[in-house]
Amino acid sequence: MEKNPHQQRKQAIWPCRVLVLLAAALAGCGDGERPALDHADGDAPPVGDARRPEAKILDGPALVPGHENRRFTLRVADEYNRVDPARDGWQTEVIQQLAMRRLRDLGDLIAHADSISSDKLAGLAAPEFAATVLRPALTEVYRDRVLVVRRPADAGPSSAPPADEPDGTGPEALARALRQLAAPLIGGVDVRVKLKIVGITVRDDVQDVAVTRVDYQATGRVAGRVVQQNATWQCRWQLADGAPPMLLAIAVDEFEEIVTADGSGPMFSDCTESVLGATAAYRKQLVYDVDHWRNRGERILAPFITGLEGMALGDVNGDGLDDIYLCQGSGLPNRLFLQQADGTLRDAPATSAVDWLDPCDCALLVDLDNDGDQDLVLGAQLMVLVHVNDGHGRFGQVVKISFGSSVSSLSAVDYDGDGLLDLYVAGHTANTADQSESVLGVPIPYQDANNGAQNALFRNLGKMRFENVTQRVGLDQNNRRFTYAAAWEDYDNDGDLDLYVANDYGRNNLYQFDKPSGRFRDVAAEAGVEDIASGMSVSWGDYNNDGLMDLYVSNMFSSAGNRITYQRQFRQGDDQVTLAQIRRMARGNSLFKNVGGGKFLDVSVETGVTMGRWAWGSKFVDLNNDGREDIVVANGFVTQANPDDL
Amino acid sequence: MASQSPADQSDPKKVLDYRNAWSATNRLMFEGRSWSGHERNCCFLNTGDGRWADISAVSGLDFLDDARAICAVDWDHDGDLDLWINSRSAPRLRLLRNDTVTGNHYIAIQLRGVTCNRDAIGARVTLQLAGESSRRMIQTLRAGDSYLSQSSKTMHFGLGDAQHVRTLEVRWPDGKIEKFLNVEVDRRYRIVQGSGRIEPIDVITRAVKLAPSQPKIPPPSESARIVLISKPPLPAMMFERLDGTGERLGGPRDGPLLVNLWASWCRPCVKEMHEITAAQARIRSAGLEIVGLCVDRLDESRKTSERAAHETIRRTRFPFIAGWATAAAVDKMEVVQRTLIDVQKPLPLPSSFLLDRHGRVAVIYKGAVSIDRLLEDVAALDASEEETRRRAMPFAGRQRIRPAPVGSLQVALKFFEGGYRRHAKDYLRQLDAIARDQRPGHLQVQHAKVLFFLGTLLSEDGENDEALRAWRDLGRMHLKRGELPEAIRHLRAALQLATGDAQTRLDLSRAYYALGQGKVRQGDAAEAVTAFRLAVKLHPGSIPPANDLAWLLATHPDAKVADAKEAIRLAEAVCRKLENRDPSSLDTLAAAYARDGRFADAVKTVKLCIELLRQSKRIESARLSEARLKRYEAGKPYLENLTTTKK
Repeated sequence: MEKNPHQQRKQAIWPCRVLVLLAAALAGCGDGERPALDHADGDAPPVGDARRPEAKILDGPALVPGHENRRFTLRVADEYNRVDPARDGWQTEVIQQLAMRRLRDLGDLIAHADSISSDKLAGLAAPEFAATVLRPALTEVYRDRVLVVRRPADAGPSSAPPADEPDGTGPEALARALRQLAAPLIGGVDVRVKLKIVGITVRDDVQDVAVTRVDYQATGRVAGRVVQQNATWQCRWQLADGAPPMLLAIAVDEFEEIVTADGSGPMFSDCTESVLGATAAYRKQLVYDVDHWRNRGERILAPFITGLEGMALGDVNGDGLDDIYLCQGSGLPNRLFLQQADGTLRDAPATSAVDWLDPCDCALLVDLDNDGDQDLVLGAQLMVLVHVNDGHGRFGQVVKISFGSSVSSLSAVDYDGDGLLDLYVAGHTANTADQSESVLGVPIPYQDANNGAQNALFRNLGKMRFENVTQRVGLDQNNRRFTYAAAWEDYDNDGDLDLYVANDYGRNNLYQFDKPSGRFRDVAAEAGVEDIASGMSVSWGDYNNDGLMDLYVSNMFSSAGNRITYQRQFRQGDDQVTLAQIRRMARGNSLFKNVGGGKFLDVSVETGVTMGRWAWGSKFVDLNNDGREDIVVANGFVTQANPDDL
Repeated sequence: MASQSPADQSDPKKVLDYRNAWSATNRLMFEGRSWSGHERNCCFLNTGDGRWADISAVSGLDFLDDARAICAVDWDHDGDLDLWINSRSAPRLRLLRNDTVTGNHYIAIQLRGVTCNRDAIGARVTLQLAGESSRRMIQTLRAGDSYLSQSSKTMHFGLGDAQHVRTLEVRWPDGKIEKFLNVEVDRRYRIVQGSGRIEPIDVITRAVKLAPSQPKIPPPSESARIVLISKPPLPAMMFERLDGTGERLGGPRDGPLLVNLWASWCRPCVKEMHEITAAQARIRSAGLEIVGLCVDRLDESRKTSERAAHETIRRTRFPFIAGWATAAAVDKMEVVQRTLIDVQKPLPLPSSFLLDRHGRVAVIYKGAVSIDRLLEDVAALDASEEETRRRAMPFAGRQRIRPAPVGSLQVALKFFEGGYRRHAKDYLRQLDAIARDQRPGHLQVQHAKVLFFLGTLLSEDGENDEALRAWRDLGRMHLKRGELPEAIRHLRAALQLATGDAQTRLDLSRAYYALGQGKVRQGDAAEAVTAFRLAVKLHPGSIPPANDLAWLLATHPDAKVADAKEAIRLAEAVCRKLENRDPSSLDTLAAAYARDGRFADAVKTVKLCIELLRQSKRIESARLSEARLKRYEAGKPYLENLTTTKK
């Protein structure tokens, strides 16, 4: 009964969805009665014993007893149970769950490093645990007025004091290693330690030992500075039936420590309330998460669970200050906020006429008619809405452009150089019934899906008229992907703009524009930027200042994916190419270095920028004005009260 | 999911399994499981040596938000880039102010196109820095990148320790290039295409005073009021009054009804009951009845005594109907609310459903409801659909799409999917009964689906009589709306349940007849003949299809279509039945004789036809028949001038 993030389905597909279920009904998928409702209505369940003492009165919220775990999902019960890999026969997942429990204990100890003692580690480290150094001797690799970055002194003179020599075995050795690692965090506040298993190996011949690759991240504020440690460990575990695994060894693969300058806190501070606090929209709408609103309207009118809505900056009233248009999910009005001279925002008056309740995911503020004001383009269900600015921030006139699916991405460009901005409009999930099973569509095949929506280029003919030129300009090649993002750039420095399109579930497009012929060609494969993964976002920037635009693409980093897809039982019978593709899906974000000649090098792993988690927006931004692009990644799919992650 | 993905769509079973895997994962999420949640944003510092340092925590950007778009802008005009990031978490929008004190320089540039697009989107700016590094930097002005994001159009360059910019080159989107030398740093500039000037932007007098703070997020609340546009009927259910008498809920009533769930041990419930007691007069005069169902008996862990419920009623002097909720009744209410509400959470206590007089759920209250609110909602029960839609939205705003009220049918599907087949059928019957009282319109589309689903379940269960009725009614509904293929499909399905059902045969015959007439209008004679033949076969007593078929077979110019002998057989049967008193069928018979070369019979028959037409003063028709008479007398058959070739 789910809706789709690409919310046209709420409207367009619901009837189809019903038919799908009816088809399922005809196919007899619903066989098998469940008893609960079928005991005769009115039959009383066992009655409480009248002689027992009365229950305590509850003040807080309570639930109807006995109904917490009702599910009503017989049709997919099998699949439902399989979602838990441990129950689905993945032995390595069982091991990782046990090991993860131990690592959480370890993380708690590191976060309270001053109280680490070997007796607390007795059950965690095996007696033969080998002495190790978790914080190697470090050397400074970067320094500015804001922060210092140190890494292991494998080259050049070491500026850090030599680490303690490892010594001893067993819990005592682990205690020493942990104290030495956590020394920079001792006495800190807001200390956080996070350990995550991102790979696991169990050899066939040594079944009682497992090796896990672990991501370590620790941070805290110590004496006015922010300290952050990042590391990758190989942990060897002794496995024993019925007992928790014990650590045999920890080897450090990578280590990095960042400390801010004296008295300098985090680089960014949250000024949200200062800017937005005076607006009704913030106080009544934005302080509540999407789940709050999902519980306050009929499902077909309520915002969609995935919360895939974006925003646009632009000066809509010509006062020289950027304003903000924010898309909200279905049932919540999109907001236009006007920046005041003091930097705060005000709700735009209702006369702006852009408070759409319909689901729309994305917006652009651009001057489409070259009349000196910013028009508003909205990506909605099955259409693009172009709002004409009257010069005063009022958008009464609306021009509709039909589109084949829900709009998942908008970008504007004058591709043909005629002086008018054109629109590239993308869709993710096709507007068909078979795609409605999931909020993220049903991609086939998962790692190279070619059953997504079709994107389109709309050429601006002037006077707010637009023509679909997708086919004419060659953008119909490879155009059935699940697109989440697109961005224009002259990557080959030939003076015209090319287009990179990031697609979910498979390969991306690089459409190179050839101005003389007026046609695009998909050169992603030959340029080396197909990036077969879950593309979510595109950012262009010259990160190495060589005059060539490089490319950063958001994908999904999946710990579970990295673990499972390397097990032998995973998709037995698949060829190596398919397996490699599927594994690559879980790697994380990608950085492509433009090396000229129309080629890119995938430098994601060696430069250390893959870990973006389940990444959505990512962006090159120069955070410290040093003239070098840094990277910011916005991530996280759906956080709810139940922390068990799918 | 990846482990189950089929390589293509050729194997329907594999595709279905795979889709179900997606569906199951989605359901878990809808039931409140996180999916890649609790993830902190990441941030990487370019350390200039081809590597990056993970400074997520140091940056202060590592919120646990489910973040989405990132827009960069120097919001406070202090010379560095601040970030707007939105998310599905609360707060759903944040301004992250850049607080770094780097000592580095910057310039900011606004471009205005003149011969190119005015926003100068697509312009490439290249900076050559002075100083020892003499670095080159490039940026392109974009509208829309990252994910769902459009950053500021003011281009921002960090310059490191460079004291000035040696050259600044703009390549405008139309290819024109302008160059500026020795540009001062730490300023904001505007460049108008073709002006040859780079002008500092007048500093607006701005006193930007932003203060960092931790956003204050209200604690999550279970209380919610959900106004429904679908208005699903409350499934029929039994409950037992506290005094032991059984009673039924669901179905039409004289007035509105509030079904309230409470427990003796739930303080907000008891408080709400006190309020209801105090407002008894107002509630009664609004015509509202209340049934308070106590869930104490369902409480296996608390072992609440029955006395407690009686005691609560006595203490609150609850003046309306009180009874025991059964597990089945609560489950049914759960099915309704979890179908109509996206968040799959069990009902809190207290919870109430406000029903209109048709027994349809108009409002769901999770948690206690104030009397004022309740009576306001009661007063709005008969509001127009437009007004109900407006009330169903938490905020005002404009709306382009009007989602269909599909919730009721989905309740039936939910019963079915949960394996509660009998309840699914009962609920569909309820929907059917209500729909029969409704005026036509959009609801009819829903009614059609109800009938189809109901008929499907019934026929699978061998309840053929009722299934037949459902599908027949469905077919007739389509027939009335002129949706012939649908009407024929459903009527045929109905007929398969009982081949002899006269009413269904007649309806299906009518549908085929209508289809045939349409084909004649389209000039598709072959299809028309097929449809007419079926109509005749299904209901041999029907005269119009037999007559029309005979006419077509007699007069069609195409010899492959025409069949004079059959036309005669049909027309003779019709004329016999009408005792040769119907001019139209006599006309047909005459044409059939003529086509068969029996011109004498044709002349005789058409003369009889003309006479009858004259008697009834149908002059125009008589004239046409007279023309035919002339042809027959000349030994020529009459051929209808159909546009036969056109399809």
